[in-house]
Parts: sequence; structure tokens; C-alpha cells
Amino acid sequence: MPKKDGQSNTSDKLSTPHQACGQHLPPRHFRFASGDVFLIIAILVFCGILITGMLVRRHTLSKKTPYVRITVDGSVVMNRALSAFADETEYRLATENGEVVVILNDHEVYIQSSDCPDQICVQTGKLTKPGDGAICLPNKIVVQIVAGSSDSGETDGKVDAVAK
Amino acid sequence: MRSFRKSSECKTSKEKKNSARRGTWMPRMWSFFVVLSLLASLSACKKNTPHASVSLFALDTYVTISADGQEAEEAVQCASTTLHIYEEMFSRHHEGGEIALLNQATAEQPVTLSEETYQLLSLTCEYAVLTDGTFDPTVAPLMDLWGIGTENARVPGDDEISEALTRIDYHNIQLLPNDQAYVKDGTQVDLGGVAKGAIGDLLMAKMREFDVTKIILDLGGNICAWAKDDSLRVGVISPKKTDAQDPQSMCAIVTITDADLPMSVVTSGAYERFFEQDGIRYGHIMDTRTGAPVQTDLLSATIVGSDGTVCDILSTTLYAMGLERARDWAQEKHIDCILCAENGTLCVSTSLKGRVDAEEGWTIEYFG
Repeated sequence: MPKKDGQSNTSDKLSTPHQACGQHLPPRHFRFASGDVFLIIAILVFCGILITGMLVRRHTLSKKTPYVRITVDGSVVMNRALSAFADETEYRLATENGEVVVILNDHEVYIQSSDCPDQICVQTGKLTKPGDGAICLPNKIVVQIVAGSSDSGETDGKVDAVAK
Repeated sequence: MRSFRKSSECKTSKEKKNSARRGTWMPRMWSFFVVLSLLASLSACKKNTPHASVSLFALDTYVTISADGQEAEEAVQCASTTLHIYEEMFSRHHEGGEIALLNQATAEQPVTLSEETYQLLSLTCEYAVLTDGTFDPTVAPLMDLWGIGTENARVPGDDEISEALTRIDYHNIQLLPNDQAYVKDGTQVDLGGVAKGAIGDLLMAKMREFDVTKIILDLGGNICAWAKDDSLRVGVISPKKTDAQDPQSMCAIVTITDADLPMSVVTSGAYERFFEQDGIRYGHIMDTRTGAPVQTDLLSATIVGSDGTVCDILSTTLYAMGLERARDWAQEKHIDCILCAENGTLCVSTSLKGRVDAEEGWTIEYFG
């Protein structure tokens, strides 16, 4: 019995300040309840993790060796480290419209000329860092610099068998 | 007074809600994850067709047979038993096997072969002629002499080589009507260069009689695959090997979409079976003109085609030919191939455009 009394007492005590608050203050829309505080902290922590993650990723990306990836109509025709082109290399791709010439050296890649009506890919200019890309829609050619070959997506998918 | 009571009621209900939210927060999170993982597992079982696979040592290599479909188990079982029958049939080392008997046969007493062996033998001879002896099924004495791939590998003397060369000539294989054949002048037939491809084709045909939707045969790296209404991705092993690299690293991936026909992907190269002496690397593919391992500027040659036997023959041939000749020849004969050159270039037949993806460190150049 006394225990029960004690419990009811505490609940009374707890409820009083709230009631008091309600009494003194007009109804407000942004009163922080303890759950809201928890939620805000959770969101902040989440954002913090996200931002740290992005920073770490950016850091690791910049550390990875840049790769040149060229695809024609979705299939990868080149997947090599940019550093492999110490000597400037000309890579010619025969297309239905004619020819696309890609120039590669160890710090940049660009489409020098393209037999396509819009020339957008040539105007894209020089690609120097991971994330850069030039696309030639008429010829279905995509030239990209990716950070590390592991970023190459589909080609890293598992195969059904390996011929050797 | 009335308004106060209302607001206080409001507050208390809100507080209750809050406490309720706090109380069920973790369980809710958990249930969310549980539901998510259930969904994930459900999506994984969506295509729940029976799968069967068996791996065994046969044909001097490691063989994996796998199938998907209602009768996958039966198909795989059938293939693994049949495999041994064919192996004995085509091996010259198997006492009483057809090829062993053929090697003992004479003009007076020709041997009668089974239809499979006879057909394979005539196809082999046909390609020996077509490749002008670059591919030669009588190369066995040279293989034995060099012993590459065995612990007895050595560089033999010139006299030994010229002696072995006298016993090598595919013209000595005599095919007679009614599946009969014999070999002249002590020549030995060795179908080792085509057996894997041929057995792959035969097993594939057998397995497709069952109710299956997908078959993948891996006969020591000779891939023969078929999938009904599905595409398959077959990797081509990278012939450039360094210790730090993943042993399964690939130079290209071939996508197979021809659902009606089984497709074979066969690679030849001296990147796996070779021995080194005095800084020279000797591969296991022999040149029947010089009697020594072939000198080639190719690292490997891969053929993609519907006939695994032909793929097996052609991969060896193109590898031995070297880049220039292989490219011209493949173009002339309409062979779908991937030729790995030393500089990291993959010379790929234009007919394979869109079906081959270059892997890390490789560049594709189409020809033809």
C-alpha cells in the first residue's frame, strides 16, 4: 500500500510542472518535448555521419588512381589507368558516322575530333579529374575519368564462368 | 476553465504519445529491418528454379558441370557419367580406348570407331588441312619430348627433336569408309587439343534433352554455356599474371545472348602451362615445323562460337599464328575472336562489337 502511494505521488509531481507550464504560457507550436530533442539529436548525428562519410569518400577518391573508361553503346572498350599514358596516345574509334579520336596522356583526356553533327563532345574539352566525362550521343560514346577501376560498375559484376 | 482543461488534456495526450514513441522506437527500428531483410530474401527466392552442380577431376583438369531447371539434378548426373565414357574414348593413354586402339591399328587391320570418335577425327583432320598443319593431331611425340606441364619438362637436343618430327604428320591419319581408320608409320594420334571442346559439345547436347533452362560446362577453362531466354557473362582470364593479382583477374567479359545455341568460349595461351630455363619461357603449344614451342607475339587467343570443338582447335591455331596472321585469318574465315596482345590491347572481331567488355588495364581495338 505505501508503495502504491509513493508511485501516485511521483506521477503527481511529474504532471504538475507540465500543467503549470500550460497554465502560464499560451499554446505554442514549437515546444520541445524530450522526444523532439531526441529526434533532433538523432538527425544531427545522422547528418554528421553523412558529411564525414562524404569527406572520407572524397578523400579516398582523390587518393585512388584515376582511370579512363570509354564505352561504346554501353560496352566498355577501354578501362585503363590514366598513368598508363605517359606518352600521349591517340585512340581512334570507328563509328557509323565516321571516326572519333580520343587523345590520352597521363593528366588529361579529351575528344579531339568526332564525326558527329553536334560536336558537343569535342566542345566538352579536357577531362582531368574523376567524375569528368564527355559524351557523344550520336556515336553513343562515353569517355569518363573514374576514380579507381572498382568504380567501373557493371564490369565488376560477377561472371557466370571464366574461360582460361 | 473549460479551455484550460482542454489544453491540459491535449498536453497529456501529447506526452503520452511522446512516451509511447520513445518506448517503441527501438522495436520499430528492428521490425523495419526484419521486414527489409525478409523482403530481400523474398526477392532472392523469386526465381526459385532447382540448381545442380558437380565438380570433378577429369580430362587432366578440373571440371564443373552445372545446370538450372526442373531436371537439373538428372542432367548433371547424366553428364558426369557420360564425361568419363567420352574421356576414355578420346584418350590415347586409356588402354582399350578407341584412340589407343587407333594408334595400334594398321592398314591390314583398321579399327572401327564409334560415330563420335570418327566424326571428331575427321573434323580434326579437316582443320589440320585448313590450318596447314598449324593445328596437328599427331603432335604427341613432341609433347612427350618436351614434357611441358609435367615435372619432366626439359629442353631436348636437336637430334631428339628431328627424330620426333619424323613421326609427326597428320597426313598419316587414314580415314576409311564405315567409320574405320588407321595411322601409318607409327604416327600417334592425340586428341588432347580438341577433346575438351568436343566433350563439351557432346555433354551439352545430352544435357539439353532434359528439362533445363541453363547449362554451364567448365572443362578446365573451356566454357560451353547455354541459357534459355537469358544472357550469360563469361570472363576471359587475363594472360598477364603477377603474384599480387587476383588469380581470377580477367581481361575481358563476353556476354552470350544467343539463347537458341549453346556458345563456347575457349582460350589458348602459354600463361599457365609453361616452364622457364635460362630466362626463356617455353609454352606448351608446339610448332610442328620447328619442333619447339611456338614463338608468338600473342598472350592468348580466345574464340567465341557455337561449335566448341572448332573453338578449341581455332584458339590454339590463332595463338600459334601470332597477331598479324591471326587477325587476317580470323577476318577471312569469319571467326569471332579476342586476341590479347602484349601491349594490353585486345584485338576483337567487329562481329563481337557490343558483346565484349574490356576489364581493368585493357583496351579494345576492333578489326575486320
